[in-house]
Amino acid sequence: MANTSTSSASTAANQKPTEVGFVRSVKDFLVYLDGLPTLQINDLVQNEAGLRGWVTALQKDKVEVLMVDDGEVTPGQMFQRGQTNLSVPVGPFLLGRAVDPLAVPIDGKGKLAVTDTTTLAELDPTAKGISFREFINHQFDTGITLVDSLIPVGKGQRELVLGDARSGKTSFLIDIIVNQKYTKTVCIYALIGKPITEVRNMIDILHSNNALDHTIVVAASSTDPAPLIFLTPQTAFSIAEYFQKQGQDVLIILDDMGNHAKIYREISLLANVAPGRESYPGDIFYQHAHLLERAGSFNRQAGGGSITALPVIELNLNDFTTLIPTNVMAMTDGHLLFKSALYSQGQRPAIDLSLSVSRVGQQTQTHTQNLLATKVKQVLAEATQLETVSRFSFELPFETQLLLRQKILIEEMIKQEPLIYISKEIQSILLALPFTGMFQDKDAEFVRQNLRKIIESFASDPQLLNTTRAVPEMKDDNQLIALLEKATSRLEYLLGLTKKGAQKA
Amino acid sequence: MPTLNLENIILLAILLLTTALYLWEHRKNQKLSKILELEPEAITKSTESQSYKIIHDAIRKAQAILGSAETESIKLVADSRTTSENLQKKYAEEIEKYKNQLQASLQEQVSVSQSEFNKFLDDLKSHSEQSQTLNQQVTEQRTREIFELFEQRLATFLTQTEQESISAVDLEIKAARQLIDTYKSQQLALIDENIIAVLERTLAIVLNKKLPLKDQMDLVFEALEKAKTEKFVI
Amino acid sequence: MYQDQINIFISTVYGKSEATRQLATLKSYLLNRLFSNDQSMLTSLEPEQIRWMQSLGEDFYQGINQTNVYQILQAIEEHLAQLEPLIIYLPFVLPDAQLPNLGKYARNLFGPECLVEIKFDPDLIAGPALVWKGVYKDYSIKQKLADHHQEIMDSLKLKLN
Repeated sequence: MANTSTSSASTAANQKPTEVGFVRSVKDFLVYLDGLPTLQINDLVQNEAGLRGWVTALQKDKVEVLMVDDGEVTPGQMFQRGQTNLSVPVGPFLLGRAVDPLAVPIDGKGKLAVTDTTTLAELDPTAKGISFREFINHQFDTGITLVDSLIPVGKGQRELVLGDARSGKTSFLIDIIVNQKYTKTVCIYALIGKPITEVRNMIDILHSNNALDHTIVVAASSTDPAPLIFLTPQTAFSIAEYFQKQGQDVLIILDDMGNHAKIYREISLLANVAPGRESYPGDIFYQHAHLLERAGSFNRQAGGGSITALPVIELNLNDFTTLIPTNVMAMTDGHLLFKSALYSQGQRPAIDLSLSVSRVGQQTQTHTQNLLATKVKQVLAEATQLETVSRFSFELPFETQLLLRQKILIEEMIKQEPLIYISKEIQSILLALPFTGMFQDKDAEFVRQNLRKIIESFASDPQLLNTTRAVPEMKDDNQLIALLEKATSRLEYLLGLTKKGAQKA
Repeated sequence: MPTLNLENIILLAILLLTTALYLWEHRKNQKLSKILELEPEAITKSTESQSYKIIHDAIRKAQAILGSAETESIKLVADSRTTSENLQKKYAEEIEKYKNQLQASLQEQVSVSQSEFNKFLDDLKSHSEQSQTLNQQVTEQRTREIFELFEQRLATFLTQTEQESISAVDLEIKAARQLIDTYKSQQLALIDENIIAVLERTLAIVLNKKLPLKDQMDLVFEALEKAKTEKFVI
Repeated sequence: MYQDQINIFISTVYGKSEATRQLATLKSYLLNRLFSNDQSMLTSLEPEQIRWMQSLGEDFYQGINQTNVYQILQAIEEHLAQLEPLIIYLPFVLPDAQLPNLGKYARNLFGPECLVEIKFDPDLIAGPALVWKGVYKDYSIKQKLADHHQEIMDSLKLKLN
């Protein structure tokens, strides 16, 4: 085999003399070469053993190369200019596959169906300018009540997901991916420097939930060389851009950007870049902003699709004031803050509503959804204030009691079991139900026991289905509540609270 | 309450009468005794006899009344017995008559319905026979048609599948042949490469071992000359 | 500045690595001669090196004194660093004695300042491969075989048939 490859290399040399360079110094995965006169940044170089390096900087008399393959490089070794520059083959054949950042399959399902006509996508193109972008005005359906109704995300939005370890971030992300089978969105899950077992596990989970058909996993595990891990989000975005250019909506999850920053810090320190805050190099903000800039909602001229990005950052002890979280918060359009305390209290997803924000999501909601969300938030805020007061008094006015009850009911309504998709109409119904007469004397336990049944009833009972279908036609929240008042008698019957069902729903 | 039959009434009447009589006599006696206090002995004697007479009369009268009452009652009982017997007899007669009538009418009805039922059965029989023959004809026709159609379809299907399978097999064979061809060409190319590699190895060993240093150097000088003429090195 | 010394130095060395090695020897010799005059130093040198230093000639040493020795050595070093060597891959190990031959030949062709660097590559067949300014070109029979791949195959097949 070695013979054939060298002879084919020399056949290529037949047409054109090959450019070569010699290793001048090696520092771990960082290699400096001389020679290679016409090399450009982001080109690939390869030594005789087939180890590939990625050209990151051109200095006056030497070239900085980051090795993306593991192996021994010694001074004096000859490097040839690679056949291609840093790019990945993209196409529908990637769906359902797991690849590494250089598009080498890691799922054991054999080679990618790459042909000579397959598009090669550059890993690090410049993000498209304002003239190719569109106003974000379509909602991105996560199928999760809390997010879709209270912290809505738009198609093309960048929403940071941050929180402690073990606060349910990953299961939340899996839920979103699984729910995308209802919306035909292509999902790209980039696992950046995660343990190899976690990568394997993620692929298995997605497979067992039938979510792999519309998903591509791009993963570099913590055992891979640092430069390869660094390229993971770039590859993920290049794949996302391919599907976006086909007019499809794409979801990209970068799990997680904290690791990415650490890997970049490692590379930069090795390359003698002056360290800045927390030893991160000065251009760490640029690196992340440059990446996330590639997400967005695009107009017809640019293909018409959208790329919704969910960068993830794992926090330490809930501290989101360190450099990387604040940086990424600054370059995204909002964030969802997960808290392990809420998780252990049983809230799913464990998102802290008061500390989470979505800066563009509201504009994608309908007027009624908006009004309802405002009302719910208002009730939650007022009730939280009154809760403190209520601890000292025995007799509360009826209004206060009602408010406190509504808060409890709402909090119960937005809890959601994993792997459940709730449509937007039913989400609105769930949030409006605590304001109806039927729920004035119900408690949290009642909701806990009947939530699943309520959702099923509104989704399948022929009488209540009419109500559900009428939800989008509502002009405001009061109209919606009035609509639900009419349906409560049927609901009470279905929940077994009354013997006779109402004849008209 | 004692029954108010004739004997009791009679006895009651007698009792009342005797009491009334006694009272009346008692008052007279009282009056008399007042008058006749002077001569009590005589009065007592006469009254005694008189009273005895009265009592005797009363007894006789009562006996007579009793007797007549007894005869009356006997007569009455006999009368009632005859009436009831008459009634009974009449009732039996009536029942018998009605029974006969009912029997007759029922019999009539049964016979009528039976005949109607028979008629209906006959009708049904004839009808069903008729429809059966008709059905048979229709089914026969249908089955014949279906069979014909089936045969036709089967034939077309068979020819079609035959063609399809033939073409599929053809396609398969073609694909397989193509695969074999590509494999063959790939293998041949590989063999070619290997031949060249073997040639290279042999040449390398032979030339590097056998070529004297002078010739080797001459080759290098020649190459340098060539690089100069090619303007590879300036 | 000191162009004479540089030219003389370059004219006596042909390989890049040889040049750096000889420069180091020259440096220690000159410093010894000018500042300490320790005779034992000369005896520790190889006869080869002594011969080389003699080949530099009296003209070379005449201009060197205690004040300019460092500048001269530095000038030579800088000049050497600027020179791009012609890397020659050879399929055989070149005896040291042959290097001047090869160097002279190359200087005839490419000018008086041409430095060569010899590397060994057993994969080559009878002939060298050259690398000039980062570009690699194979001038050995191996390349010729690759160039005439098809013809060789055809003739081989013809023979086999």
